[in-house]
Amino acid sequence: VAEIVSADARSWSLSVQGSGKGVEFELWYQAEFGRLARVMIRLGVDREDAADLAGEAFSRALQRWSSVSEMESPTGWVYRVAFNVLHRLERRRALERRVLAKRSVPVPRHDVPVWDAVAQLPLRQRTAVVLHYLLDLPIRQVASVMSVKEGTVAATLAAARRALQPVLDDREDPP
Amino acid sequence: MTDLKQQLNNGIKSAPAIEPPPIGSLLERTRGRRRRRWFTGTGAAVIVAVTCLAVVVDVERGHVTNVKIAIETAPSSPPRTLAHGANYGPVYATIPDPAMATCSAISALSNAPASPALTTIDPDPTGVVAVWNPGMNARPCRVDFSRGDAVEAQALAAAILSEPAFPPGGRSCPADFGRNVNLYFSYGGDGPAEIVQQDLSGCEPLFAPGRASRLAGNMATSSLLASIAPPSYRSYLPLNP
Repeated sequence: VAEIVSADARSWSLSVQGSGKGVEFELWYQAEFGRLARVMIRLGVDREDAADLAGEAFSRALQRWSSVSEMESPTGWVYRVAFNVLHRLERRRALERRVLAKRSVPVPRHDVPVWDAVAQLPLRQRTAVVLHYLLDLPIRQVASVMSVKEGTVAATLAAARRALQPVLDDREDPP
Repeated sequence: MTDLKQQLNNGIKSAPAIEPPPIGSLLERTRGRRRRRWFTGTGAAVIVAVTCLAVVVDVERGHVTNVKIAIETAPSSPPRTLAHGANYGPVYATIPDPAMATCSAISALSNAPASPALTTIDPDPTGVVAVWNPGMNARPCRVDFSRGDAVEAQALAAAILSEPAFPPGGRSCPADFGRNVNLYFSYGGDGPAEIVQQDLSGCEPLFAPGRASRLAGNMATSSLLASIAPPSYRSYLPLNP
């Protein structure tokens, strides 16, 4: 458990014990990394990229930990960062496919249809669904994390539910 | 929408688990991001603009008739012979990642069993990283890092090499609190660093793992260590004569 507490051109110091911030980050990181990486996998990212995307999001959180730790939902924030990074990655890959004049590569299919459907949602809907339904953040916090109004979140979630409805309806109830 | 929530959670539980990498890798990413920033976006635009402006000014003054761009690569450092496993010569070590360096890890060096070969390092380092361990009574335990450039590292290496062997036989020493500094001398390129440890309490031996200790009574060693020491460690220097 370590945190860089001061640095200049010649020396830097680490607080190894007793400094709340470093310990706090470590615990949060250990608790949340695995779930974020799994969400990335369910959104169609391969295992290696999922670990990389989650690592990127948490490294940004570490860089700004003094302010991120004060947020209402640091976890919501790190998910939003991860989704933005994933969105950029998807756009870059789509562009590469167009430039290479290849046929569209289908999104990898999993055995969890609801996550396949979530992966097809626009970025904003996907973010709102995960923050609200997976992380259990109330609408107010989702709005805060996404920097939009609560009404926008409600409308986004309604649109996402409509898009996901066929998947939920298709699910067979046990006899 | 409980069903949606449940399905999402079930999907996550059944996804393959991925262990979080060490925090050091996150720190590496943040450092890489800071380094890259100058070569992208605004930073790159500023560099290009300043370079173009400088060329235009020179051309207007008539100093430049044509512009050549030369790309030079740094000469690679000569290969070094390693002495891993040998019971003589320098001892190689990896400079610890600040994120992974804990007090217990830093103080784990041991000078026993020592071979008859005296602690040594190569005399021409290109830099030195000093890792300062406050010892077992420090709460909170805080590891400090400092560095010296090539001139400081070579002077320190020369001072260390001039220290005599630790005298044999019994010796009465002050209390040993486990306070020490590990010196990682680097030699350019990606090669390993050479390590020595200077204890800052007790008998204050200077040693590398598995090598015979030296007694750092030389004022040059003390003053060079003081020059790269964080302020809180300067009071432990000079070393006992």
